[in-house]
Amino acid sequence: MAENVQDIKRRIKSVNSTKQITHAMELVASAKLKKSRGLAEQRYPYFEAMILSMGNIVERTGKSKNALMNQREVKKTAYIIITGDKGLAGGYNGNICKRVESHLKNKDNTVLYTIGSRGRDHFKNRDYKIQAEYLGISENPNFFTAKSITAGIMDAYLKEEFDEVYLVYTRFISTLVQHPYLMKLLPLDAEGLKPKKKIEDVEEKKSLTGMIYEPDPEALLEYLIPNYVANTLYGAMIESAASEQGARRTAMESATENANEMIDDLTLKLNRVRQAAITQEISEIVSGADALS
Amino acid sequence: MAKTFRLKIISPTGVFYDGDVERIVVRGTEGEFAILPDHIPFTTTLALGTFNILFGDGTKKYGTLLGGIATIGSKESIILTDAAEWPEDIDIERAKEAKERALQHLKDSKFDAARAEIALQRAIIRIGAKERK
Repeated sequence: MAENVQDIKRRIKSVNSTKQITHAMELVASAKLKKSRGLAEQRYPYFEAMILSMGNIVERTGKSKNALMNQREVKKTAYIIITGDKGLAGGYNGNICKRVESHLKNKDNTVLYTIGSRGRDHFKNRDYKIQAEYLGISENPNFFTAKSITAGIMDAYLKEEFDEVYLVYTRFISTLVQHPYLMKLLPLDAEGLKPKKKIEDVEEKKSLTGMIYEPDPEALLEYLIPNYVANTLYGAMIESAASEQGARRTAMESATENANEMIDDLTLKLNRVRQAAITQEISEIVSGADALS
Repeated sequence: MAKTFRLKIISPTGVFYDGDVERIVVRGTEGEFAILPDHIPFTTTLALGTFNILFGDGTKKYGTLLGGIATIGSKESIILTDAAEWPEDIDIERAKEAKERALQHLKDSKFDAARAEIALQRAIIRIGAKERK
């Protein structure tokens, strides 16, 4: 007999307590996921309305003189990387780091802004230049944090510390599917902002062409663009938070599943071992009785 | 009942107000102005200040509107703002603390004066709105 009954019982107990932990984490992640999705829904109306008015202004003014929209020769690149502060979320943090590394061309011409300790640790260990790190905000995205982060980044961009900015985050597609995603944040793509939908309504069309901008469209863009950048980051932070919880939920669900399977296997083994012990005892008694008679 | 128009006030954290109003007075960067039904199409930036809504049934309501942009269209008027609050949602203690902090930051050259100035303005507007009864 390789294992005795006591050992197997102990293992079942330990797997069972691990299962309880993973199950609890799964439930917590589900609850947090729900919260993040609520935030995403609240953000949507503002973002939509903002994109629309920016598109209308850009369409009216044509090429804007705004420095955040102008392309320049790329010498240095900045990345904003959004990861979680905690692990145990399947491939969530690893996928983001891999996505950045596959896009990154030259380590020396790159600066990183990391949100979340996982990404920071990964790139710090590999000697990347980390301009700024933001910890403890991944789980609870907040518009004002996003705004202050982007304010710093836009300042540095205008001082030409770098010539383009990429944002890397995890897109939330469904509770089960999340994809790492890389988008260019600066310079802004004016073409991409133009409204895609043609306006059919005559009244609305007239109101757009006759729209008076005060003080002038450039001043409005000056207000809108920083807000657009901040809001894009805010949205990415929300989506990442949702993705993190989604990934963690899935990972913990399969961990719980595995623990269940293990308990089943061990219980079967336990019964077999116990049965074998009983069978052996009986055969010993029987042969003992045989010897006596 | 008086003629009304559809007004939406939206902040990054959600839709603050969505409904029909007869008139709203807001503070633009170029000065205070009122929006009435059938206003010409108009887009402008807003300053930090308060707003005043007159509803179709004659009741009035005011609140704070901390910067933003107003787009007045043929169908609806949309105000995008950094933050909007009804007076009952304002935490007076927090606003007073923010005011003190901003004043201190203004004296200290270590801090960004422009940001402290805005923080001070916000706090003053909030306190003003709360105490106006």
